[in-house]
Amino acid sequence: MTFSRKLTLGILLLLCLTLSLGGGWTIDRNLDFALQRAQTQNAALHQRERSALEQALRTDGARNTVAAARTVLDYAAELQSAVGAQPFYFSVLDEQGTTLYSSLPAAVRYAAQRGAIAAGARQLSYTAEGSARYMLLASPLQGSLDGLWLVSAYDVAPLYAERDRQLRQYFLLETAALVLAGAAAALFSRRMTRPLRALQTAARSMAQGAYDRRVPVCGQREFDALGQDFNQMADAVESRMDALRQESARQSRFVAAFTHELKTPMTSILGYADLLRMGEQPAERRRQAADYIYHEAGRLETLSRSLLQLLGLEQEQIVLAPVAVRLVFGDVRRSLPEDFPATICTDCDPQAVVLAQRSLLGDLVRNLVLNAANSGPKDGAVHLGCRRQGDGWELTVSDTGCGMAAQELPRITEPFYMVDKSRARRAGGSGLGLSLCAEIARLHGSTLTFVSEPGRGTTVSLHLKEGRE
Amino acid sequence: MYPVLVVDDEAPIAELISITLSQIGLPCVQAHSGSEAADLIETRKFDLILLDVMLPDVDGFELMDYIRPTGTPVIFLTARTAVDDRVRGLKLGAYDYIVKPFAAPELLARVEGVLRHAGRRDTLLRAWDVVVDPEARTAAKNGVPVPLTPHEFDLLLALLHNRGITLYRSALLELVWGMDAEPSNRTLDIHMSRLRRKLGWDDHIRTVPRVGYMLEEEETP
Repeated sequence: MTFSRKLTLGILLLLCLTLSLGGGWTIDRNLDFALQRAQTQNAALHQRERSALEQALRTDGARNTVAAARTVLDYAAELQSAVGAQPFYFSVLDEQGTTLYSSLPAAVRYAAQRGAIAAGARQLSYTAEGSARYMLLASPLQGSLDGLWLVSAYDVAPLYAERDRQLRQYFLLETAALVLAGAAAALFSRRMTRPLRALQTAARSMAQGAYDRRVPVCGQREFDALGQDFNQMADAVESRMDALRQESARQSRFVAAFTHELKTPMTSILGYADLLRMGEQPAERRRQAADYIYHEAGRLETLSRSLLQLLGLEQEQIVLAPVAVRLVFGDVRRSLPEDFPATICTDCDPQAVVLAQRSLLGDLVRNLVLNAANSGPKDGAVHLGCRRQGDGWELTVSDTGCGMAAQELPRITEPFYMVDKSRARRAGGSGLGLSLCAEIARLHGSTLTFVSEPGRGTTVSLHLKEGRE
Repeated sequence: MYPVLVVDDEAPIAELISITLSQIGLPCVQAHSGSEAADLIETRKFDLILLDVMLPDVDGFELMDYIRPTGTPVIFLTARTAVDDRVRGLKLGAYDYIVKPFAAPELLARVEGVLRHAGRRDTLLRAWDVVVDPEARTAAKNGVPVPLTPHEFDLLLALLHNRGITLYRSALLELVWGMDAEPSNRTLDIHMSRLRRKLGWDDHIRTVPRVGYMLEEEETP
């Protein structure tokens, strides 16, 4: 059963109880009041009849019950014959309970008459038989003979009929009131629980994967607080899902790129090796095949070495020591091949000493220098710089080469991401260089910052901590 | 008869494919980038295009837009094994795909299959008066069918695919009998002499002592 239905039923039950009890009580009071009025009236009537009967008995001077009975009979006959007289139901009983006379309707049983006599004068009693209801009044007759009792009955059935009519009328009224109130309560409780239903719909659609669903503000304070909490939870879930999705996309890109990088040289190596082992190829083709196999195997070797280094770095804890940047730049210059296509221009503060691991920092700078030279700088140079920045030093490697578009920058440190694949391939790149650089920067507690413009060149900078005490 | 276009940014692979295809008499044109390929497709006609999916500039899927109007059949070359990629290629209208790394016989079989289905060329192999149908696995000399056992036919196919090249005994044994079987050199010699006799090729299949066999190339007058 829903909450709103329970609310409606609760309200209805309470209303029904109040109305029924209140109505019943009022109608009951009305009946009591009407009966009291009838009693006063009937008591006066009874009094009058008694006096008249006593008078008749006294006049006749009846000394025994038979005479008294005759007197009463005469009196009754006289009473009946009086034109326009109301029917008067009464009986006269003697001490032993013998009925001397009775004009009582059959509904008034003998036992009821005895009961009225036993209750005595001033006490009234009621008797009912079917739908007939009578008020019984009894009083002793004082006259010539002792022990006679007058019992008179007055019809009070109309009062009860009136009460029943009132009850029916009230029942109709109450039913109408309950129907109206029920409709109002249902409407009200639906309105009350509308925010709950909104919350439910939102929760359900989230469960089905619509993580962007939110609960609207409804204007009721408790529900709004709940809705806000729900929305916050949904935000948290959504951002977590996004992060997972991105991570998984990154991983599948890595696997796809890695597969490609692995299978491409493999295809050449297997294909040419197969060619050679099948039969005696012409000398020129033999030489070419061996050449391809050699270089493609070299490429695989570079790939595995870079990948191992990258994986190693991810788990490594390095020890940082003060290193003069000037020396690092010297290492890099010496490590470049004889036929390096670009000149190296250094602009280094001779005082610059940073906290670093010398060989790793050398690898980082070397990779950046190779990339810069590969970008085809217009002035044929790669610029290395180091200057003070805050309480540390900023290393920069910049070129005037081809540059990169802004949308490339977020992904360039991803493994195997190559902005210009053919250019990178000619230079023997594995697509892991910048990933390695980023990893080395991370180990130094820093990050690489790229500023680039297509056609104008690229500047990579790295902030390092001061190495002097 | 138009050449086959080989599109792969890896020069060694493009070259490898060209060498393999030229052995069954298919001339090849190489393109090493998407834009180079697009230019060639617009200006020349080809019987078949072998297309690498991952190209540095225009990727293979995009190139399909240039190729589709020409109606040229396409086989995708891909290093990706993801089902999605393969399905995407086939949906875009490729006839087939080849996953790198591939073996020469697989490449040849797929290329022959596509050429035949596309009705671009007959893929019959011819040498002197003998015509060989690799698909139906039948050979005929002067129009008269020559009954060959499966091993003899495989030997003939290996020779035809490598004309002018001395095939090593070990390679022939592996090609025809498979890695696991252990037939002797004697078996190979017997099969080869039966093949010679059936085709009347005593002069054309040359024995290179202790090395292997070679099917001579026809001298083009």
